[in-house]
Amino acid sequence: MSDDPPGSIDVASPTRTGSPSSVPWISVASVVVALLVWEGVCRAELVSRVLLVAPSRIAVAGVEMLGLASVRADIGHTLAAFAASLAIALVGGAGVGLLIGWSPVARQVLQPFVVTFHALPKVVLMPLILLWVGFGLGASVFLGAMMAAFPVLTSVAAGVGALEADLLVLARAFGAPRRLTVRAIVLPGLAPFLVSGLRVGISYAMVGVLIAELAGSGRGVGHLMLLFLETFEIERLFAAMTLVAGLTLAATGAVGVLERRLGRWRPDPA
Amino acid sequence: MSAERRDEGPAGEAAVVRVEGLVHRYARRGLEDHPVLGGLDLEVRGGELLAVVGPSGGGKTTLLHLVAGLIVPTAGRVVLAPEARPAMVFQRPRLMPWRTAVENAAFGLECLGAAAPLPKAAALLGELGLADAVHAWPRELSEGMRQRVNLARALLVQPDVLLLDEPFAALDALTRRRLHRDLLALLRDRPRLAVVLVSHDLDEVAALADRALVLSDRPAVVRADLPIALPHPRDADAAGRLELAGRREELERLLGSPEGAAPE
Ligand SMILES: Nc1ncnc2c1ncn2[C@@H]1O[C@H](COP(=O)(O)OP(=O)(O)OP(=O)(O)O)[C@@H](O)[C@H]1O
Ligand SMILES: [Mg+2]
Repeated sequence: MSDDPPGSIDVASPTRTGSPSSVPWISVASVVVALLVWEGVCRAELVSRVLLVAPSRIAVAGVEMLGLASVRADIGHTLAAFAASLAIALVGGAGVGLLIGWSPVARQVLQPFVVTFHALPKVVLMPLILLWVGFGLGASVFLGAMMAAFPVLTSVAAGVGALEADLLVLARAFGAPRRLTVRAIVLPGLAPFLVSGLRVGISYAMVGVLIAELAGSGRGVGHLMLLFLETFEIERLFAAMTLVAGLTLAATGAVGVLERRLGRWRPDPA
Repeated sequence: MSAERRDEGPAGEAAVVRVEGLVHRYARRGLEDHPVLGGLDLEVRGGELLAVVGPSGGGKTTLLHLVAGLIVPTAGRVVLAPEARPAMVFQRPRLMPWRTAVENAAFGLECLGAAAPLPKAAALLGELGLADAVHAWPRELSEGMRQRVNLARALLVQPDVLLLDEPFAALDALTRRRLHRDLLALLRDRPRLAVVLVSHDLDEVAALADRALVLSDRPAVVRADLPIALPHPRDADAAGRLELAGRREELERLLGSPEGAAPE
C-alpha cells in the first residue's frame, strides 16, 4: 500500500515499459570465470580429456556436428517430440487442472488418480510405453507429455482456487457477460499459474523425451548421445549435451519473457 | 443549494427502490441458520441520499447486496423502479490489479457493451482529480485514489441507484472530507440519482444524508427514520455547524451509544 499524496505519481502514457532491464553483470562474470577455469583445467590436462572436454573443443565439435544432415534430422526429431509433448501437456494439464479446480465432484473423482500418477516416477512406465506405442516419436511424446502435464495441472488447479471471489462478485454486480468475466478476470488471474506450470513443464518434457530416446528409440539427440558414447566420440557427446541444455534454457527464457509481459502490472522485483 | 438535489424535493419523486418485509438468514453448514435481517421496510426516492447506520455486523452489507440482486432474500422483496439500474461501490475497492485505473473504471461500461468506454472513464477520472493517474496500476494508487476509481466505475454506468458500502471508511479524515465534497458535486450533476450510503461515521451521515435509517441489533429492523433536511454545504457557518451537531447527537442517541456504531 502506498500512501503517496495524489499527483505524486509520474504516469504519462499507457505504453509504459518496466524498469530498464539491467544486465546482471555479476552473473555474466561468474559464468565467464567458470568457463575459463574449465578451459584451463582441461588445457593443463589436470583431468583426462576422455572425462572432461574443454569448452572450446565442445564448441568446435558442435559446429562440425551441426554440419551433418543426419545430426540435424536427429535434432529436429527431438525438437518435434519436445514441442508435441509440451503442447499436449499444456492442453491436457490445463484442462484437467481447470476441471479439478472448478468442480468439487471432478476433484473427488480425479484426485486419487492425479495423486497416484503425480507421485509415480514416470520412468517406470517406459517398458509399458514401448509395449504400447513401440520405439520412436510416439514413445518420446508419450513420456514427455506425461511428465510435463503434472506441474501444469497442479499449478492451474491452484490458480483456480486462488481466483479472487471478490472480483467474481464484482463482475456479477455489474452484470458482466460470461465472456467478459473470463477475459477480464479469470484468464489474467490464471495466467501466472499457467506460466509457472509451463516453466517447470518445459524441463520435465525435455527429460521425458530424452529418457525415451536413451531407452533406444533409434532417433533423436538422446540416440545420438548413445551413439557417440559407443564410438567414443567424447567431444561430440559433450556437444550434444550442451545442445540439450541450450534448448531447454532457450525455452525457459522464452517463458520468462512471456511472464514479464503478462506481469507488467506487478511490482518490479526489487 | 437546497436540502435535496432536485428543485422539487424528493417528496415528489417516485420511489426508485422499495424494500418490503425483507428477511435474510444465512445458511450455515452444521449450524442453525443465521438471522440477519428481520423484516425490513424502506424506500428511496430519486434524488435522495439515504444513509443506513447500525451496529457492526448488523446486516448493512447484506442489505445492499440484496438490493443489488447479488443474493436472494429469505423472505420479502426488493422492488426497483422499472428499468432502474443499481450500481455498487464496494467497501474494498475491488480493482483488478492487472488493469490500469482507467481500465478498471471502464469495467462497468464494458459490461454494458458501451462504445468507447475508456475515454468516458478517463474523463470522469479527470473530474475526480485523477487526471495524472489514469494509466497507473492500482498498486501505484493511494487508498483514496482507489476509492475514487471504485466510485467512478459505478457512476459511469449511469445508475439510477448508487449503493455505497462504507466507501470512505478506510480513509484519513482529510481525504474523507475531500471525497465527501467530490461526491456532493457529482450528485449535483445527477439530480435524479438515488443513493443508499451505509456508514459507521455519524459525522459523515450528518454531513451528506437527506435521511438516515437507524437499524436495530440483529436481526435488523428499522429502529428510526430521521430526516436531515439541511442545505449544503452544511458546515459553511456557525449556525450550520450547530444544526449539524444537533443531528449528529440525535443519531447517536437513536443508535443507543456511540460505541454501538464504533468503527471496525
Ligand atoms: N456470506 C455469508 N455467510 C454467512 N454469514 C454471513 C455472510 N455474510 C455476512 N454474514 C453474517 O451476517 C451478519 C451481517 O453481516 P453484514 O456483513 O451484512 O454486516 P454489516 O452490517 O455490513 O457489518 P459491518 O458494519 O461490520 O460491515 C454477520 O453476523 C455476518 O457474520
Ligand atoms: Mg459491511
